[in-house]
Amino acid sequence: MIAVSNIYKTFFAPHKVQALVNVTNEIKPGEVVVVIGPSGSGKSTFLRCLNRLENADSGHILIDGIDILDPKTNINKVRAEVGMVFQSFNLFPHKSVLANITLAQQVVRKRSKNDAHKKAMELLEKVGIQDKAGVYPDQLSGGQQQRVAIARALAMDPKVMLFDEPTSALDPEMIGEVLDVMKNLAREGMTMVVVTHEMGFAREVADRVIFMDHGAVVEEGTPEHFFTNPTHSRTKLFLSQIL
Amino acid sequence: MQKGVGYYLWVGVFFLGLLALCAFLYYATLKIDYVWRWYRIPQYFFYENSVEIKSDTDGSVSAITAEGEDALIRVREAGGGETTFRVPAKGVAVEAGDMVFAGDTLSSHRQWEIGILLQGLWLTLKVSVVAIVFGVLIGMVAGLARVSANPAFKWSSIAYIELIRRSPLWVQIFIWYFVLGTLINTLLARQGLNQIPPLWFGVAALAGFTGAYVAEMVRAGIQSIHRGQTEASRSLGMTYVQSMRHVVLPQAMRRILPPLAGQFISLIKDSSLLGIIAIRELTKATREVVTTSLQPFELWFVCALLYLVLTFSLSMLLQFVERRTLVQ
Repeated sequence: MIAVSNIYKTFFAPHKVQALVNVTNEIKPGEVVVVIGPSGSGKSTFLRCLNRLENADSGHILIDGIDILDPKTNINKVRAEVGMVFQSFNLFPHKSVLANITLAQQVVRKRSKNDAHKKAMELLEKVGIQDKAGVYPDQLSGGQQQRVAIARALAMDPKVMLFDEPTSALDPEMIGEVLDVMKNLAREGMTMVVVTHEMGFAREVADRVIFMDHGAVVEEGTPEHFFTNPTHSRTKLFLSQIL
Repeated sequence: MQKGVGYYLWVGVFFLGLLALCAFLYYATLKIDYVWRWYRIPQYFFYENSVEIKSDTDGSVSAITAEGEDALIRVREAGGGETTFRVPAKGVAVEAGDMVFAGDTLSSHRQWEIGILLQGLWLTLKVSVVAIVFGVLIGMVAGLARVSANPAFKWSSIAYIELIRRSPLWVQIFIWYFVLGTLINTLLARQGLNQIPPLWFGVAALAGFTGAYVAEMVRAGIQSIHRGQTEASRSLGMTYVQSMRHVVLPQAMRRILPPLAGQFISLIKDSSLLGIIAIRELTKATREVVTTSLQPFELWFVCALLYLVLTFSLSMLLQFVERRTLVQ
């Protein structure tokens, strides 16, 4: 599904940071991969490189066999197949919940208004807020907004979903409702890459956990291996700090 | 909070101060023997004009026939020809059988006409509206070019904005009129085409001037929209243009509207400079009336007041529109 080989990324502003150093990984269809690591370890940058919100400096990223770092690739086509959910939701505040979900369907997928509408209502039901279709995002709680954001991404029928710390901006009592939606999605076989600090979610849902530090993958493995028997000292240190 | 006696005392101080200022001004003008003649001012808003229709031929009036509100005066010429004049019935000053010579008055009547100050005010408003429409169009294009990643667009936009914002409007009007105007009209004349009147060079100067400021507002509006909005729309597969059109610009427009209203008000005031290229807008009209009437004090106050009325009512109107759009 996603094949990443030897990517590097360096930020120069505000000061020079090597965000990704020779990262190689492969994500198989239907796999749920959780990326964890301390802040500044490059996990978000890694995720954002996967749909070219950040341009990797070198290396290759193949999405379904398409090299997205090739300048000739139509990135918009690839992005339509890759859903993304952000930490700060990024819903469109000037559009209703329904319009948030139908906009890209109509503009990018060229679906009819009716089809887009129908799809949106199905997804709102799936994430449990079908009664909020007509309201504007600022009238929703954080957890509801994030569920709308997930529905908005799912409306494009993506082949893979990327989650960038989807619960970090939420009040504790709302984290559960968002994680439940994600768990259901995982159960349905969606390919997912999730950057998160929710270790419970990683342990329960992940097929594989990747631990990153200083822009590199330090250790990866199944959750059982990862949480009960980590091999690397940095992983042990990190786990001891957060668990 | 309850307003105490002290508050009303200071309100009183304000009005007393205002009154004192007016009184002082009046006293000072008396000292220089200025005679205030406010009664002379209304004629520059509306005046009754006497219209005379004169014969342009010699002969005798053969018949006068009424036709609705008009009358037809037939003049038979000595040589046998006949000329018919259409005049308002109420003003007919000749009778059938009268001898008339070229230059004789056939009819005279009075009619109300719009005075020069109101004409000037109307031209000011017209010029400002046309200039703001073009200015906003130019500003939108330049603002979008300004935030574009393409250096050709971006640098053209920066060059335009900086050029306009770093030179006086007065000079820009001269350049439009004396340099570009001469150039364009001479080239048109060589092609045997009609000349462009000065008014349009004035409008172009104002529109170009406003466009640069609007471009900066559009840029600021776009950049004030959180980066997450672009990231979210682009990661859904929208192109740059789609993301701008459906997500960024609609949000930016709401933030651009209030400063845009302010720019329109400024534009109305800046249009007073167009007098320098012989466009008779309000200020130029006032200057002309001052030279003929010799009542500068009244007229300049009236001129300022007219601008105030125009800008104040417009800003009220725009505030109303703004509130309406923000509610939706």
